[in-house]
Amino acid sequence: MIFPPHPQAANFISAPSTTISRSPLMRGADASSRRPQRLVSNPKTRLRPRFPKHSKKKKEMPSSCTSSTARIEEIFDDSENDSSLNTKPPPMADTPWSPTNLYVPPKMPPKTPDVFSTLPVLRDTYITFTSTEQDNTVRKVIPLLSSRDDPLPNLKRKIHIEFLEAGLNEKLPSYMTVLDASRPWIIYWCLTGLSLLGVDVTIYRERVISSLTPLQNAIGGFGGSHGHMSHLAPSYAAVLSLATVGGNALSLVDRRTMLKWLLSIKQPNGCFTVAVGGESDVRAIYCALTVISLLRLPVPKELIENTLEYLASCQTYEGGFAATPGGNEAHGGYTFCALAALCILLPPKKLNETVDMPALVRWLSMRQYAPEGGLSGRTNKLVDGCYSTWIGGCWALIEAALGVDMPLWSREGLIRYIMAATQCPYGGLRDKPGKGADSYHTCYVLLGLGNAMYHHTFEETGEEAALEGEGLPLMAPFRWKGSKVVPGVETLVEGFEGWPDMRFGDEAPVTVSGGLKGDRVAMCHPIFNIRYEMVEEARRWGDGLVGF
Amino acid sequence: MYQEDSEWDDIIPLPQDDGELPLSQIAYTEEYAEAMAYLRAIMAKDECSERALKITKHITEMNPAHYTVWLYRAKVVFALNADIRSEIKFLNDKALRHEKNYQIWHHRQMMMDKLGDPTGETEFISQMFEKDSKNYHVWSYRQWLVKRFDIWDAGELEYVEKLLEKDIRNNSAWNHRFFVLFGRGNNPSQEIIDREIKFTEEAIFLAPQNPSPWNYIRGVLSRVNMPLSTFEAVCKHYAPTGNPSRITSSHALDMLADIQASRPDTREEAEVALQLLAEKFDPIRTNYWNHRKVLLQKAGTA
Ligand SMILES: [Zn+2]
Repeated sequence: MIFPPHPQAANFISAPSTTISRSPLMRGADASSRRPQRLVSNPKTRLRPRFPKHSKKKKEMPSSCTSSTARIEEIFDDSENDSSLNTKPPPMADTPWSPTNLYVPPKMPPKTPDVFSTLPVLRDTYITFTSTEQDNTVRKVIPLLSSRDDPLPNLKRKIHIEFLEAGLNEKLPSYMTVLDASRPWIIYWCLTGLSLLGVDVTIYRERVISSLTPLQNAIGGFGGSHGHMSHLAPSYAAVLSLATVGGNALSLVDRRTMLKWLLSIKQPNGCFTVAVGGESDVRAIYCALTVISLLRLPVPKELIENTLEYLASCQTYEGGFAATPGGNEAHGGYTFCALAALCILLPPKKLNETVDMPALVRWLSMRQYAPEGGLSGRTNKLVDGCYSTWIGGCWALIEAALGVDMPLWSREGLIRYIMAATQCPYGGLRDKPGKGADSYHTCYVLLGLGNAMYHHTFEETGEEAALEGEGLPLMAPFRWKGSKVVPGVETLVEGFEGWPDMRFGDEAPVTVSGGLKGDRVAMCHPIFNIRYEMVEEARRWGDGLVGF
Repeated sequence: MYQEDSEWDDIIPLPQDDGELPLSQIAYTEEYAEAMAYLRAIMAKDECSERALKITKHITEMNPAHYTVWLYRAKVVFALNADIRSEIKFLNDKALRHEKNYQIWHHRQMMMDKLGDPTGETEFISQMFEKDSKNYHVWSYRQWLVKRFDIWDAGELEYVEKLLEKDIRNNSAWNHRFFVLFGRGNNPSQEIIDREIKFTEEAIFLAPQNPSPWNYIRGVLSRVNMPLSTFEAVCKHYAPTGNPSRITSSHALDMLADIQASRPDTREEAEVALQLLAEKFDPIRTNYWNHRKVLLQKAGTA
């Protein structure tokens, strides 16, 4: 949950209890009321071939959970997993036979490669809680990934947009009160998700400013809600939300008090506390450095003193990074925070001198599982859609650091997992089959889809030394460039030439929204996780400021 | 309820300002909205009082993820010199009911630091681990506790072993084992390292495809500057490259490739191991294994 760490890590992640995260954010529908809705609103689904084997399998599935909510989820999951919404209607269903209308069998999509449709070659017979959980996940994912008629479902753009718009416009039900300390996050997740889907979010500018104004405190920084203490996490989300809607919305931030507040929570060991008196970890550093660099704050020496060393010391014996130095476990959320923070301070090539790169790359690559294709946050934990951002986002930084011209991970695996296993039939994206959608996962799964589609490079200018100096803004994060061209990869998904611009069955790329074609999502900045254009706009806004 | 309570007569509540054009508003219950309005008012005065303890407790009931309330409460507890034992008791109940919440653990850490006596803490933590033995924040807290009260030898290793006995794949427990071994800063004796090697071997025997012990032994060997080849025989046992049908661990192949890559005369064998991983035993990571092959070839020509 945290935004880095997830379900358990962060409180600011999604709604923490199963009951809450299951329900389609802010629509207030419960599982039982959703089923009939679908039949009414989408009669076409009835025409689709139904494969009873799916539901049969499901019922045999041993239930690892004992709570009644969990059981309801599993039962409900049947209806999600029948993949009927993921399937194009059979072309001949409505066409009566006639001598001139010869039957043409529908073009079948290419079969899913074995690695994503069968159990791994090497499996242990010794069973423990961890292996049972893993087996249960695999059992749910395989039928989706290896569906014979739709192994790579289209991005259900329209319903995801509706889901996120509801998150912004509708009142969240009272059981969402646990998110009261994270309101800028909800705004950031929804805006970022929408902009990834091609929606013009600048129309929300006035409302973002209006919503965040009461959250800014006189001592500097933003709280989670009106009257809450300033905290780095909501400050990060607030600054990114303001940058995302553009048009000088960032001017809402009082840069002078922000810098004062940041200096007040900076620790001599290089870290920051999240709030005055709060805890400190690498997430705090990433949030602080994002705010500092995006607001183009001048950087006095003490603001980042020892920070590099602190970050480097969070690398564990496994190769990934932990929340704090000295014993914590390597974790996907904190690893992204640490690497992104390092890349705010340094050009990525310098990572090679700062961290144990071979161990890091090894640990990152071990986060991808077969046959799921998705990414996990820690050793022996399950895949989860949101690590498509936390782990998936590390690869862009690593590729730039190593300067490799060949792929290091399986973009195809992640794409297959996201498209087939994380889209909820009623809109929004999720952790894994059996879980409900929430705005946190919707945002980070979509960002992860972008991680699988794009490649990023860092422009060495040779002037680093001249630009980075005491008292000057941090410049390194503004030198990144993204591209659709992924070195060493011609086809992102085997057998689906032209994807994502061309979906299976499309004759030509179809423009959908915001100039995006097919299943494409917009390209985001690898460190800030908002669109490149908006990072560029923030830079211009900063350059235009007179004085401090 | 605060409005009618004479104890709160002197307070003018500060209602929530959501801005004129709010996004993502929350439909608070009246109870929560009222309590928050009174909290804002007393926080604005920086009031440290018994009633501040009451209202913060009330709000954490409704929203345990409310960091402001927790931080304010900690301040009040210290200012009033309130009974920390009873605060811990209150936290026990909260933590067990809200497993995923993590503000509680920072608060607990501050309280325990002040109290200065960890009696009963590891027992309580173990109770948390019965629910989820991989809870990140609880593990962080346990490590803080071990360091703060210097209780390294008070059953930590035994506890780790108990957890691993239950689930040899619990990576958090493996991680804690590493912490117990090296967290004190000085390296343990050779005798202990030998014991760890043996322990790891036994764990691998149970489940050769379990990544945790493989990561662990890499960590241990590198920490004490012993070569990976210390583990070469074990690797070969689970990854007889001459007889691929008997290979039972991709992690053994991986480590074997590293060992063989470190010696010029076995580089070709390393390539064979990487090839087996890329093509047969670990195809989701084909790109990574190919990258390792490229590095190997570069090292060979250099
Ligand atoms: Zn997640």
